[in-house]
Amino acid sequence: MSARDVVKEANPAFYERYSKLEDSDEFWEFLIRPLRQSIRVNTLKAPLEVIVERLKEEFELEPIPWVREGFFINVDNLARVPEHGLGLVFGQEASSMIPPVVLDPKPGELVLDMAAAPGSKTGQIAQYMQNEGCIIANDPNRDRANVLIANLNRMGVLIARVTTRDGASFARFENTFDRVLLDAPCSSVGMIRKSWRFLREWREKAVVKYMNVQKRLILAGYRALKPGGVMVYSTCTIDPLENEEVVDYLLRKTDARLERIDLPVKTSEPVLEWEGKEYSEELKKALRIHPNDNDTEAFFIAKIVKPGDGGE
Amino acid sequence: MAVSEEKANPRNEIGKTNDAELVKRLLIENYGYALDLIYLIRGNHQKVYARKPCPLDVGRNDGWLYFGRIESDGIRLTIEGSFLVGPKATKNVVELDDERARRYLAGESIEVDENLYGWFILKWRSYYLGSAKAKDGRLLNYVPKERRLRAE
Repeated sequence: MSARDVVKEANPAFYERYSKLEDSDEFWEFLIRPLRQSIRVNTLKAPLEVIVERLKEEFELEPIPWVREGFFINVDNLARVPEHGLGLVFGQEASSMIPPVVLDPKPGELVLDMAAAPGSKTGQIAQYMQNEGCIIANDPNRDRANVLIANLNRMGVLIARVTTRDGASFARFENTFDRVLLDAPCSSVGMIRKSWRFLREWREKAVVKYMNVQKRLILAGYRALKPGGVMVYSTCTIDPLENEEVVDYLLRKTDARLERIDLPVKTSEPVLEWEGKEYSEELKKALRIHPNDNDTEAFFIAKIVKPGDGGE
Repeated sequence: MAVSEEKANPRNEIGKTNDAELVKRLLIENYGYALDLIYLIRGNHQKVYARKPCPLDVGRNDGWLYFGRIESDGIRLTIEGSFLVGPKATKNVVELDDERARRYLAGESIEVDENLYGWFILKWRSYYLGSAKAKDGRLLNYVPKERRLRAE
């Protein structure tokens, strides 16, 4: 049975919707292929070269082209890697390392991570900030927040404040944060490679539900951003309603602008027209990553800037 | 005799001495170096948490780093605490070879010089494995189960 048929059988509505987006055999094959194990080296605890040198004695590492600290590693179980237990490496999917790279936070800044759990991106942000400054790491779900706290602890993060608010409530911190990451809750099509249930349980109704949540959150995050600041909007899904539609909504509602992202990563064309609706040409600056582009999870990343003084 | 023993137990000072003062003093006494962080001692297990200040007050929040624990005879560091203190510690650091480090990380207590007694930071190459208690020629294991090294 071809990958296309497997998907069609598991969830016909899913197949019907996304074959309109991309319909190559490669796309369907990679969508259901298991993910390669990747790690991010945690430089909060030891220098990159020291950790890499030690790991190479025992494992094969393949650098991830778009993240200096990211590597594919030939191990099925990270519990076999001494550095994992010590919090020197963290299992993190290769494309999920992109948003913090694009956010590019600096030591001493004030950063908001609006949907932070389980915390791999928050830890990466803390690493780029060299544990100097402050990160407000939020997740409204108490259980997920506890996982976030445990993971930040293991990474040695000293600058996080973990909150459990509705992300939209951060709108009241108007013009406050140097950088904002909204790695939004989404329908997680990119995660099918990790868990089959994301395919089985996918419903178009949920896509619309997530889109409405994402629109609330992106407006709140943008409001909380300082003039001149940078906000990154990302999802691990491919639906245009959760990606281009949400960013287009922000562009129409506010003075936000997009900035081009220059990274050595293969991408698919952003969607500028979907279900009869046209989106801003600005969306060409966003990264739409399909599973077959780089053999990773699917991802969408947009770099948003707020006009004004004080930033880039 | 009983009185002096009680005085020597730092747990008895919790709540009477400022948390940061107590933690820093014990760090200096035990490892010769203390970091300037915000410290909090919390709970029945005398756990020490640490973090850096944040300029923004966001109301109720969490996110302390579990740094160590006040013991009756000193301060034990978690793996994270040892990575913070270890690089500048001037005393009570034991270096392990690859074989003993692996066994320790797998959850074993390992053999050490009979003359050592008390809390020691364990160092393996450039890494720090937490604090262990040296007693009767062994370093007692404190690696949490979920963080132990597995062979398979």
